[in-house]
Amino acid sequence: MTTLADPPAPAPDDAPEPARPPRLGDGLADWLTTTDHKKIGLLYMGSALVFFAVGGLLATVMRAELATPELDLVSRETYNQVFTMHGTIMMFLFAVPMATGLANYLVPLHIGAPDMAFPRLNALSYWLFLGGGIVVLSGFLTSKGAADFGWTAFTPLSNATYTETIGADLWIVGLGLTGIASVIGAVNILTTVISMRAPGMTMFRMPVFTWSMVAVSFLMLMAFPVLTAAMVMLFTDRNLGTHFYDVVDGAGMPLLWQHLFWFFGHPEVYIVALPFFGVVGEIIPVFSRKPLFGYVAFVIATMAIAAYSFTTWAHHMFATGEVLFPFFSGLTLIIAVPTGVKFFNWTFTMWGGRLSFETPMLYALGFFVVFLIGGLTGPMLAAISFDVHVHDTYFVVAHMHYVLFGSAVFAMFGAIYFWFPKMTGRRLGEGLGKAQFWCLLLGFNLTFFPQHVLGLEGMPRRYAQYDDRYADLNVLSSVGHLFTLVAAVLFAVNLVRSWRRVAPDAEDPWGGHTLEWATSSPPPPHNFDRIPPIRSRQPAFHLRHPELLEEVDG
Amino acid sequence: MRRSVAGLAARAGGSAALLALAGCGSNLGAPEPASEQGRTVLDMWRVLFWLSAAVGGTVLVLAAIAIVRGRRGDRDELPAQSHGSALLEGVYIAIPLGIVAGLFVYTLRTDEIVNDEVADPDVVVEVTGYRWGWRFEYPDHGVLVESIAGETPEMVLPVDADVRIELASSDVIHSFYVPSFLTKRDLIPGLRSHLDVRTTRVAELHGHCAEYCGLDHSRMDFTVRIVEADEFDAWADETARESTR
Repeated sequence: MTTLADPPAPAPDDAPEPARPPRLGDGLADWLTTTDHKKIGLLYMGSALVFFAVGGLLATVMRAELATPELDLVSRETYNQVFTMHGTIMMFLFAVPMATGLANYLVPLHIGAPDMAFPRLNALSYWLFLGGGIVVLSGFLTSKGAADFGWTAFTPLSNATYTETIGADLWIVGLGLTGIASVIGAVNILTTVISMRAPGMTMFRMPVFTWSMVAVSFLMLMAFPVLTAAMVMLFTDRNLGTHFYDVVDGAGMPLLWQHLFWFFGHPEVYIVALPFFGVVGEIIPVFSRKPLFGYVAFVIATMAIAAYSFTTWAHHMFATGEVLFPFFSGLTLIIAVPTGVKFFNWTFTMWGGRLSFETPMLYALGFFVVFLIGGLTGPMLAAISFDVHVHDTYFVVAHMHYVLFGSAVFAMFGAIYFWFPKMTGRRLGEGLGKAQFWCLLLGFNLTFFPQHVLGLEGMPRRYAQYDDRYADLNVLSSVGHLFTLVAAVLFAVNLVRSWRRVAPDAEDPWGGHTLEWATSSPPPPHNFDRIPPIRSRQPAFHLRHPELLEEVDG
Repeated sequence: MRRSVAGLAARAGGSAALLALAGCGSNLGAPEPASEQGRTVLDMWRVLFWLSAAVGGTVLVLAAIAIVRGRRGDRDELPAQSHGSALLEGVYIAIPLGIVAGLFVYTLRTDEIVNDEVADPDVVVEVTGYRWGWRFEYPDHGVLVESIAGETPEMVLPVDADVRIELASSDVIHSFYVPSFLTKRDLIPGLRSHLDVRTTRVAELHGHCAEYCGLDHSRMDFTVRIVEADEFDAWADETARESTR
């Protein structure tokens, strides 16, 4: 899997002879000191893919252990570290940085800017993230291992009494660093979008991916500082004898952590999902040969989801019996409406289109189906009495994987296949890409669909061993994971193979709509030799079809 | 323990069939309730399942029609470039809004029924969770049941009775979960909470700790045995004598 580590290798930005394959040693110093948003974007995405591989292999350990009811592969200590780090890596070190990397690469190109507003801050953000990630993972090198209190780190379990390990402190400090990186990145993206748009690029002509990143940046600005503050308090509880989260002398309150964590944690779900809603909002129109249906509604829905995501945190706490049920249930249910709007945006974009099904479109449709199922189990979890039955069971594990795997993996692969030619001047193989897609779709559903039933039957999550009556569906789930592994290998092979050949048609293989397709692939260091007139939401499309411009408002 | 790959594959095939059956069974995968509250939750699950199936089915059918129709025609020829339709967009905002409004009212009403407190419970059990076991005390009966290493502690309850389960934790957060009651409640240090259950059938039920609590979380199981009232009294008398000895 280490082959996934290779993507940060040089993309020939200004290579005089594009036929020469780049060598790994080329300009290493350049990559370490770069402030070019495209290179930082690639660094982000490459690092995220490496973390994705690590988190995925941890999932393999879990599915192998859970293939039988007994404990027969790893110890309970190890299993607890494995699921903790799997969740932590996937949420903080894969999904968020992957979206941040895409945004780094695409936002300036989408709005016709030569770079981000603060290029050096951008580099700082990346290196803080990478450093933080390494600190989190370094827990595995300590004698008692990495953090093992779950990615949610509920107090008092995560305090120094119940988790003595240094791995836990590394987890707190490392995530604190990545949180600061996210805040810096968010400031950068917002400033770029507000102040660096090219002439003619009004806010309501921006691509929906960039709009999604505006929403996500607001979420990051409001959510991550809360997490950082909560982490600082946890750190002082553990190391300096404060009592924010424990009940010594009635001083602290264990539930305070849950409130703070989920006040961050629920927006975090949308920090992960919204960028990929944007990605799908870019892909489907191109392969339908139509503009996005209901663009304005799509943007407003994005903003609505972002806003509501701050009012729903305690739906993760219904089983405590200590929160105001109607408020959190009602506001959680409402989010289904703007999310539903997006599904109809995508559906009616395809309606009456001329569809083709290259790999990016397949992944977008895969996302559509997978996220639909996750989106339908979401309102179920807002139904208080039902939620309390399946809370902390595999039903929730299934739900969140349908939501997060749907967006951060299916739509991410869509994004990679779609923009790979733009970023590298090369193309990923269609055959391998399609094989990978079907393998992933099968493997994913085989792994996670049965987990809905396991949860309904009552199997709690975070169990290293379980009753025999849960065995059959667990076997099915583990078998499904094998297909996912095959898909990962196919992707790695595809990446390596694509590296060897420069595709002649990589300039714009799909007939792109948005501004990034109006420059060369890969773009020059300053992005645009010449910015085309921006008179619509699809400047690159109207460059090829000026005759259609008259029909367009906006 | 080892199983051959073929064995695993055979089991996987079997469980795929099981999964299909679970979907078709009347409980749609949920356990057979052993409490009145559980029945209400099961009814809710049926409503949620069929509602979601209808909504999801509608979206999928629309998308499938768009995809099938979109495959036809010359790809080089551009289709009509429609940007939206205020009417259609209004419709697809209004309908989901109506559905979730209905769901909200239904959720609150169901929650009222499920969490309706009994004024005078027939049996009170004081449950204490700790790493990694359970203590069940029956203050009215002078009975104490405690986890013993290697054994699963058992809570005995009379059938057709209102049971109040008082919950407290002596260390970290745990969660008292009996799948057949179709509900759970967290045990939070520093807080007291309770769960009311009206038992409806004689049964032997599995119980789990559902909130992750560290090393042996997955071994913090218990059982709940629901018996006839006279059998419960006999058990209580006998266990009370044992406890005092």
